[in-house]
Amino acid sequence: MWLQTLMPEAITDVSKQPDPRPISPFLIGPYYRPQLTSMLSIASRLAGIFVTALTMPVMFLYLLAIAGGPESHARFVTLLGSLPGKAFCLVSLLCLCYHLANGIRHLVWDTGRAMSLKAIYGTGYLMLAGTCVLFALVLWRALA
Amino acid sequence: MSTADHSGLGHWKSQRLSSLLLVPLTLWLLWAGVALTGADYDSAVAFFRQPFHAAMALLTAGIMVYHAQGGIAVVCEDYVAHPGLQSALIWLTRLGCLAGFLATVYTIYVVWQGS
Repeated sequence: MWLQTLMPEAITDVSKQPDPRPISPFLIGPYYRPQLTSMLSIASRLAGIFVTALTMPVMFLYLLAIAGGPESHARFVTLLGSLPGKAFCLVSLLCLCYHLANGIRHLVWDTGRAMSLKAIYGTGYLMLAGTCVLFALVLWRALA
Repeated sequence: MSTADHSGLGHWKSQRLSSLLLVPLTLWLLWAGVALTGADYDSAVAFFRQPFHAAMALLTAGIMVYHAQGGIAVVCEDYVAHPGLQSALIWLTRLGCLAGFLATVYTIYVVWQGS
C-alpha cells in the first residue's frame, strides 16, 4: 500500500490507481537513465525538502530559544554544538547553497536564456562550482 | 486535489517572484548564520535588536515560508498520488510554515520589548 501510494506506476491495473491522471515518474529507477541534468534537478528538490522539513524548523526553534531567555538559548546552542548538531548545520548549509545556486540558474532560464543542451550542462557545472565556493566561504567566515 | 491545473501561471509567477526575492534574503540568512555562530545569548539578542536585522529576519521568514509551502505543494502533487495523503501533507506544511513565521514575529517582539 505504501509503495502503491507513492508509486502508482507499480500497479499494473490502471483502474485501481487512486487517481487515473498521470503523475511524474521517478527519475531514479527503471524509467530514466541517470543524467547530470535530471540528477541536478532532483537534488534541488531534495535540498528544498530538507530545508523546509528540517532546517527551517530548527531555525525557528532557535529563535524561540532566544525568546525563551538565556537558559533555553544555552541549551539549544549546546545541542547544535554537538557532533550531530554540527553535521546537521553543515548539511543545512550545503542544501541552502545548492538550492540558491540552482534557483539562480532557474531564474536565468525563465528569461529564455541558456536553454541549449550545451548551455544547460555549462550552467550545471558553474552552479556546482558556485555552490562549493559559497559553502566554503560561509564555513570559513563562520569558523574564523 | 491539485491546483496546478487551475492556476498554474499564478503559481509559477508567485514562485518566481519569491525566488527572486530570496536570492538576497538567503545571502542575508547565511550572513546571519555566520554572525550568530558561537554567539552567546546577549550577542544573539543584540543582533536581532538591530532594526536592519530584525526587519530582514521577518522578511526572510515570511518569503521563505511562502516559497517553501509552494515548493512542497508541487512536490506532493508530483509524487504523492493518494489525494487524501497529498492534501494532508500540503496542509501540514502550510500549518508548520505559518507557525514558523509566527515564531519569528514572537521572538522579534520579545527581543524588542526589552529595549
